[in-house]
Amino acid sequence: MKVIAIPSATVASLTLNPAVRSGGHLLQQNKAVRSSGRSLKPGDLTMMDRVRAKQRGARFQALCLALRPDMLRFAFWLCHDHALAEDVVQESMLRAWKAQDSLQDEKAAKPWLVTIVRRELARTFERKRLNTVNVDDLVALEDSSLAAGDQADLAEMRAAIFKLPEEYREPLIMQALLGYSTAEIASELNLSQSAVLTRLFRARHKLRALCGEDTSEDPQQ
Amino acid sequence: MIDHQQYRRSMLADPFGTDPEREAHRAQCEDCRAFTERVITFEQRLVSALKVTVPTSAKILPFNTRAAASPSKGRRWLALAASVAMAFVAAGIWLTPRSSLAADVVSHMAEEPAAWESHATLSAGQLAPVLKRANMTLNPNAASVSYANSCGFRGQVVPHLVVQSPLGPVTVMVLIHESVSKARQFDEQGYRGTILPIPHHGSIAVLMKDSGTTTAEIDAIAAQVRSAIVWGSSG
Repeated sequence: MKVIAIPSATVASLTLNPAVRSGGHLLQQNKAVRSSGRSLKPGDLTMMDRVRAKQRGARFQALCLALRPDMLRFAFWLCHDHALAEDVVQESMLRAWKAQDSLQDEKAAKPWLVTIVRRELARTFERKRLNTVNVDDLVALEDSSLAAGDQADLAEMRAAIFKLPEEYREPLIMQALLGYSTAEIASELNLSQSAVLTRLFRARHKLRALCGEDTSEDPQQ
Repeated sequence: MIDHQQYRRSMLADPFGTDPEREAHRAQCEDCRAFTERVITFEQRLVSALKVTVPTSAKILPFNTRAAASPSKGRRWLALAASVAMAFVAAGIWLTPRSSLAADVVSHMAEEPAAWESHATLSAGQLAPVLKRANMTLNPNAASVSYANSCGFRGQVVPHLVVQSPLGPVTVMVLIHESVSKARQFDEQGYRGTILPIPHHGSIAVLMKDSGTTTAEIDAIAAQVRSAIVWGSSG
């Protein structure tokens, strides 16, 4: 019987970072702007400003809508719960909206949102202090996400992914689902690149074994 | 030069890495090439498994402009500004045009990088379930398909194929729910392609990674793909 604490690695890695405790540097920047006393006067808002604001808001909305599915999947694979994943992503989107001025480059939106989702997950786990979960029970009881319709092959893979320790599962999801580079994963998880590569290697090695693949030709760990 | 162990360790850590040493080893080692094929196939399964269905009902994101406005609540002008901004954003939400079909196709490419890497031709049995969703088959003599997946796209499930052409891998998305009035070429984010109308069957998007292929060449490939599709014969 394998028993895991669902949020352990996420919470541990995040709570060690002082920036996270205070809401992150992006939010701090926002607070700094707010507290600087700088404010708009009524006459400052021209029609062009309003049009630009509208366009920017619409762009941001479209950006978030496009990234939302991957954020939901990312949260789901970390928390094992569709409803909780939805709540976390919804809250994360709201935080993102509030802090949208700190997103300077739309191309960086995905890692920016991932960071927000991870922090929100950590906050949720800290608030709820979730109990440990028996992975075998979880796999047996999981709903359609594991059954996956007629694709038993995918169901087997999904069950195996859930069995990975979180320290291996999270970087694997970031790479395979979100398309992160090793350097980006290292930066997000506060690890060295070599540590990330080791975790990714172990993750796939374990996953292949769990899925019944022939791992006799895999390198020794 | 790296050895077998190093190569395989690196493959399992980053299957789509582009380390020159890895490329050099693979070119010389038949066993490791076979190992690579197995890892890539496994990776495709992994990516498919990770893409669990997510709810699409919550279309309205929890955005409001009070969050974006200044927090000095006591000032009347600020409340007015917030109201104006809220009205603009609300209008923006409703009036935002749908992003272009080409842009959405290109965005989808980033979701399945593994699709480009496989080169082995799929069997008819592997291909059939994917094509069946679009009520189509492909003439096996006209197209060598190395990747096939049923993908969520704009709320529909559509076939996503990679066809091996003389100019390299070509992605084909069969967009049976997306009609276009005429062929549209696009060149976005490192991808070049075309969207062709298919009367009574929506459209197909055909695109390649931009590696010097001309628009005319892509148009020619797209025409070949279109002629290889046999509609209404999925069995």
